[in-house]
Amino acid sequence: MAFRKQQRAARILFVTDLHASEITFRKVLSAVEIYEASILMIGGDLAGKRVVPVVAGTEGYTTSVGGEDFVVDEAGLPDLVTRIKNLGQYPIVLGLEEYNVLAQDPEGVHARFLEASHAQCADWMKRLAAKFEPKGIPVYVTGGNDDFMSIEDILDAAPWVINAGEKIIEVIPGVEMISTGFGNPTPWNCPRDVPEEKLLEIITTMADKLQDPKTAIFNLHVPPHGSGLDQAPLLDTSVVPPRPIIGEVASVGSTAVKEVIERYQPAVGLHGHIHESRGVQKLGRTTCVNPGSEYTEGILRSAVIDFTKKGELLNVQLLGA
Amino acid sequence: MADSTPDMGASAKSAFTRTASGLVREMSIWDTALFGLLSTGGVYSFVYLYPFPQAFSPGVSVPWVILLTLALGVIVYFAYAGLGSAMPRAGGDYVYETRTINRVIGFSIPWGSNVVFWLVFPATGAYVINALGLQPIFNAFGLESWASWLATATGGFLFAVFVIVVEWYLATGGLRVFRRAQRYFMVPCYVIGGGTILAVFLFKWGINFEQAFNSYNAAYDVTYAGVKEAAAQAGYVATGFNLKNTLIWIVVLAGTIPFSMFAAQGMLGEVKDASNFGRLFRAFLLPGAVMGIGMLLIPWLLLQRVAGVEFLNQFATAWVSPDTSIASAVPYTPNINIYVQMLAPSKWVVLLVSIGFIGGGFGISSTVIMNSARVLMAMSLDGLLPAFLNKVSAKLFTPVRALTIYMCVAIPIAAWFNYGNQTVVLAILAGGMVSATLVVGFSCLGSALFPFTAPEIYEGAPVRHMTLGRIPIITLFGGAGAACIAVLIFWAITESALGLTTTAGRAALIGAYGSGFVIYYVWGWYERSRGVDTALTTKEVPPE
Repeated sequence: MAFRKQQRAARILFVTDLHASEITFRKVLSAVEIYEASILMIGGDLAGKRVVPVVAGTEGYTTSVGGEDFVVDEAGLPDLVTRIKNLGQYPIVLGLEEYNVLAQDPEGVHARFLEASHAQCADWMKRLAAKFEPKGIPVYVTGGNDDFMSIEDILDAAPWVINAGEKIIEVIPGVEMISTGFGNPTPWNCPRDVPEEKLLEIITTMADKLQDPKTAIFNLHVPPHGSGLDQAPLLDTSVVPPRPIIGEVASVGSTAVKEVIERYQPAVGLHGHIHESRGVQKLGRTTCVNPGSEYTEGILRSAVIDFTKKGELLNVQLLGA
Repeated sequence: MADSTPDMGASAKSAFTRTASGLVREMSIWDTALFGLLSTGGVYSFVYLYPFPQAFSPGVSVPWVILLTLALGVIVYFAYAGLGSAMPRAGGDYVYETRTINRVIGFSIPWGSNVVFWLVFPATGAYVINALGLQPIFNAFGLESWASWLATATGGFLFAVFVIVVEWYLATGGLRVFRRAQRYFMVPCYVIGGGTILAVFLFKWGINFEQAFNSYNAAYDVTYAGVKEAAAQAGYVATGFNLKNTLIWIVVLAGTIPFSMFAAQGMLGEVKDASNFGRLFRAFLLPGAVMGIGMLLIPWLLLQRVAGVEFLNQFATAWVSPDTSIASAVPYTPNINIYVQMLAPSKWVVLLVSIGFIGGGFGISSTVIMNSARVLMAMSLDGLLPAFLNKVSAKLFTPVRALTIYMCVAIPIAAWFNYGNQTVVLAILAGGMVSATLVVGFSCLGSALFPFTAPEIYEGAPVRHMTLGRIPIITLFGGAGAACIAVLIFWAITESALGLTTTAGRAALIGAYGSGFVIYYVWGWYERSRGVDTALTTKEVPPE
């Protein structure tokens, strides 16, 4: 077994779709050492999904989280805030009047979203640097289709953390990586939803410049269409927001991603986006991985990808904790 | 962009939601409760009670067995709701025990239990549907030749194959298919069968049972007096209440009522709100109470009132007598449906009660197939079993391969069940009950240890605030559950009345659990030789 350990020259810990879940992010900080990873990759969808108003009133602080109402006093507020953050949501403490004004002001709410997600993103990048720079562990981050483009500046400015989006980076000697958080259209018109033709162009522009695509990592947020890593509930789009139809699933991955993987046949495809479709699938000779996401439960889903000294893929393993 | 629902009241608290994708779990808490009801077996559970307790364990009080089992069930529900809400993922006992006890136990015990479930439930489910469902219906409606054919070994086997294939279809079709079958077929069957039994006993409260018995059994040349005489010849002696014998029979029912928490043993990765302890606990308690009180206790009390405890004991004693001249006084198995037919000799009553058994047979074996496939899948996803077991169909999103393998193994087992040595078969059935209880015992132990052996997970568990002084309540409940089950297991393997003291029974258990240890170490060695560190899969990662 010592023979095998020497063969493993590098281990990537890949996590994705954290969606601002504080407890899941804190597990990422611990997981690198526990899983003996030498590189950390954080796939897209860093941003949360909700701004949760915590309204200060005569009864105390009231809010509703996950369909459950809460009323807490001053002493209970920190716990409540933590609970909300662990769910991947942004708590904002407001007075009743302020809440009622904001509730009528969609642009104001959007501004609060941006403010909260920028603050969260910047905070995470700072903590990643503080944790991994002393250990010399590189950290690569990309945005996902759910992330506003405005976080790119934050990722670019982050010390130690490398914004891998739309770049070609040699992550291991002999192993290059291309990354993108853009994705095919979804019913929610997310910030980085683009037509398939555009997505194909974004990816191939990078892939064509690779020295050896067959040894490369394609870190593409959206999984390939029909790969089994892209099964999501069918949606009733007649309502806003679209509502999942329980029991009906469909392949919602990208045909562009499927085409590039089939064409270039990289060593590894790293994907996220569809939280429910955790798995490892082969597309030709490419091993495609989607570790899935259960951030709302505080469960860290991840994958470790091992490479040899020669930059050959050794092993892929799904993990959950 | 966000949308919001303004609330002008003092309790304004609506969230502003981004219109973006999110994780969806398909089973509601109500589905989970129905799944639990199916897992208890409904009227299927009467199979374990008729007529055995009275014959093998003099002085047993079946109503007390039921009540005490329900009390044990409440302890178990708490333990599983506590564990499940803290670790709401597929894999059930495998996940809980690997995190709270250790990896070897956490793999081997659930593996062994699933192997025994494999051996027991597909075949017995089919048997119940056949012998207690279809045969009575065919006999009642003049199709005796069909019933006779089903009663043969070949008929029983071919029918079992049919049932197993149907259950494979339900399981591979995805949760949508299963939920519909659950809601619109199996649970209604439970209600119809159980409700009919209750109704008959209630409406025939004042009947002259001896007259009803003689009238029903005229065709068999059996009389009420004849049964009493046969029992006397068999050495029957009326005995008073016996506490030990009553407690021993909890072993049998421990595989029914407490299992209304069955979704927590595999399905929680697909249950909405699974991290809500209170809802989960209620989802387990409700079907357990319905089963224990509504489907077992009240019918049994009514039957005792109508037929008399004494006669029930005598009937059973005569039936199990090894002396064929005595046993011939009772030429059929005196099961619950027979008593119902005595009181209400109508083919429509037969039909309704038999529907309950059809639902029960499908319910218990299909929930086992659903759960077991997910446990195998969880083990495979963690690298402790071959990867092909976790492959899901891209179209159906179910572990089709694991389910297909399960079906292929269940079919030869059904052949052995129908053609094999029936004494051995019964021993294996007894093993099924014990193994069901054994894995629960280990998970209860895990729940007792949970705050101390997995503090990082416990820190985020909904039950962490429930303490009695300094002692976590989950430790108290889990400890009580583990202790009770340890005693039950001891009795199961030492008391001959429960059928596991035979070589075959013990060999089956040793083989099932021993295979778990062997697979764990052999597969682990193979994976390590390929550079895969399976120890990573169960390492807990605390939040920094």
